[in-house]
Amino acid sequence: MIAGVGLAAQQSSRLRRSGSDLLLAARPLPQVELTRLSADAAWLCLTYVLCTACAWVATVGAPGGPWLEYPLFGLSGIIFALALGHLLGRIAPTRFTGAIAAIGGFLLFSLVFSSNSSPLANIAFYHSIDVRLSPTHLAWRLAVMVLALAAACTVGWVLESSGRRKVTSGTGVFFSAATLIAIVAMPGNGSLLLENRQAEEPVCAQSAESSVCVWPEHADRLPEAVEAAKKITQAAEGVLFPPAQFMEQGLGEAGAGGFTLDHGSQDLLHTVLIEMTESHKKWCEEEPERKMQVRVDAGLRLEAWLEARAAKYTKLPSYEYSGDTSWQQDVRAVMALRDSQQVESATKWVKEMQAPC
Amino acid sequence: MRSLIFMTGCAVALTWWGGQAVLFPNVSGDKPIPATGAGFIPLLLSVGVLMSTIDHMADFSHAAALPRRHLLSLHLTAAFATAATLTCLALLLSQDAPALPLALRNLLGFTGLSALSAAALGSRLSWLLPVAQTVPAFLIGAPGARGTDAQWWEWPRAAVGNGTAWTVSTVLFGAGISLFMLRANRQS
Repeated sequence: MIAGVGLAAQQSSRLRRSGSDLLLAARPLPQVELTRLSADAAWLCLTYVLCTACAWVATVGAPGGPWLEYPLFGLSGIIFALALGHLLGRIAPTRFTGAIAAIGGFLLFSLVFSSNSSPLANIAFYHSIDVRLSPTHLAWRLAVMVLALAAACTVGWVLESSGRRKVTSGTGVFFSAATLIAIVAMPGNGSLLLENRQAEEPVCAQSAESSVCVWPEHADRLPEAVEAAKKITQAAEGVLFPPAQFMEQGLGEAGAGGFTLDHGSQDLLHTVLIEMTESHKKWCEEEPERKMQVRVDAGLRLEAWLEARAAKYTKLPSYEYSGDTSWQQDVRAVMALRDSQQVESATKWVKEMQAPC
Repeated sequence: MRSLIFMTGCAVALTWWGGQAVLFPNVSGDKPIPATGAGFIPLLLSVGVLMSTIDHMADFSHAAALPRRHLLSLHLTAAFATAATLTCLALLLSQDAPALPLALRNLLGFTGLSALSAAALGSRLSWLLPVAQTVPAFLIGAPGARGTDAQWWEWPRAAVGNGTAWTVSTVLFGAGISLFMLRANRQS
């Protein structure tokens, strides 16, 4: 978008300052300008679409939402930036217009509309499966783009006729004012660009005593999730019983919890494991810090042991933990014991985790 | 003359913004990191330096008895000295003298990038490479609050004591000006 503002401003200001183009143009100058603007829009949009396609191709296998509204949102942003740059270049055609427009665009899009919730400055390539682009933000972006484009088209004609044609002048002023009003009135920091998706009818499969459910778009990856759930259930045999359902991220109540298919097989196993242990954890509203620490450490021991056992690791999974990590020594010691003794220690950790408040 | 007015305008903006830190968002999801005007405004000043070399009488200059490169080297020296002087004046007026080394280092590096851009694309597009460098450096980089963790490509946001940033700026300046002069030689 920053490149779009700068290049469009550079192009339109250069044409205005170039005397030969003015003399030799076979068609009215605003028409020439808009043709050039369309050409710039075409190659910038093509670049954006190629970048998006590369992002999607590179993330094949990683699920998430490559919805069509994402490129639509990005392309409308580029066209808005081009229209804005064209207007600037047309109104103030100096040799510095391109530079000022690009740097001004950079400051505008990064500082004034910097928030993740501004519909003006954002580009959405790819997001997780449980979110969708806010329809309000998309509608505002499209409205701002259409108005800015209309302003860019009409203002050129107004300046060409030096404001002599009243109808064109009125239209140019109307679209310019409407663009500014739309920018000022669009949703600000109060609303989110990405909204949690409404849970749809999931696709489920049975894994031992539990069912495993994923979003319909991930139906083809359901076997991976079932396999992970099976591994975790087997690893926890005799220690924990599995929940009735393993749900993918965003499918549970109020969109909370759930496993993810987004970040590879190790993450899938880890998040399925959390689904399993979370339902067995006990949280007390008021509890001495020491007692709470014992409860938390017991949960960490259990999770590390279960993950290592499910993935058949000989070492503990390498996560970065903050605070005291001496509990890891206990898990390593337990992993060196016989199977029945390991189950016995894990059961002890479950009891510590579920100790009464 | 127009470039001088432009650079003076940038110096006024530098007096106003100066050493004050403004939080730039980080699109990679890290915490926003503050940047001062002393780090950013040299970008505009460097564009002014190269834009001032636009020759409206290019055909005439090609046929002139004195090769254009002689005049161009003097012109660039004077324009860069003007930009550096305006930077010093602006920061002294805004009582941000400690930010002077940072501003001068960035002026050096950005002038080099502008010259590279001008050599490749023409003086009118001398802003393209500096802006292309600024966007990732200010919006993606994670140089730490004081610029101590800056990587080599984040040189505009690196701390003043960062030797790599000074090296990169100096190399960019040397390479940019050399290529720009080489291009001027070929044209004349």
